[in-house]
Amino acid sequence: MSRSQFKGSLIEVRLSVTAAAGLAQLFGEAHPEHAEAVEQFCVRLQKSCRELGDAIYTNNQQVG
Amino acid sequence: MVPTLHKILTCSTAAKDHARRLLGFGSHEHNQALIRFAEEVQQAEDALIHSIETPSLTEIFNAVDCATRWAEKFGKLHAQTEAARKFSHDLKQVSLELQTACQMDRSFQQTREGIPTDAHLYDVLSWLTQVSSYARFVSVRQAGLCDAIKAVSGGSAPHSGNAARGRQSQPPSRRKKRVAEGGLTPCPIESRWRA
Repeated sequence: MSRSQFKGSLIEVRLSVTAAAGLAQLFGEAHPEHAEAVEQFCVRLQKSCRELGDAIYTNNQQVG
Repeated sequence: MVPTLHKILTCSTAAKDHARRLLGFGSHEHNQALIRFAEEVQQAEDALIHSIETPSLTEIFNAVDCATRWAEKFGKLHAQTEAARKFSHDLKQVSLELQTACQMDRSFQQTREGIPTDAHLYDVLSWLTQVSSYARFVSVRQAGLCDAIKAVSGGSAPHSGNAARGRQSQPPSRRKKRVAEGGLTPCPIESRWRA
């Protein structure tokens, strides 16, 4: 797997995170009693995804 | 459409799985970041589940039922019946260990309506996420069941082999003996845990 392929594969991760966060937000709107838990979930997910992206894209070491 | 917890976990499970697939293709730092990401997503899932549900042992077994049924369906649709059969067998074994440790009398009957019509493997994995998350939750409440809970939690991925390893490390006969000797603290069988 080349470096570009490796980094490109992170899009799949990002897509799944976005889908999970989107569904969670919809869930939160339908269940306001769980809005806070859903909000926390989305924040944690986005934060982890952002940190993963930072680690991958700012680290220019050899891939593959 | 109002998404369910299962749908949310399906997507977050996919994110974890995508990240794990990339392990080994990058540098050591990349691998560490990918592992950390998967762990953090797992923790976020746990927190979400525990915030909106009250997991019990019955919930664990219900989720196991769902995971095994969906895996068998997946296996048929993708000509992976042998792999699905082994996966189901392993998962049922560790569940039976937990059941034995808890001294519950429960047959593995269908407990949720509906048979899955799609063939997405992540559906199976998301049920396992619920299984392992429920198990971790219960382990906090039932400290005496930690060994059995860990065996179930370890089987969170069909390809991991943790389920099989957990079974080998604690055969049911030995576990029964430990329970009989007082090595494990049998949990009280509450009415809400009955099948």
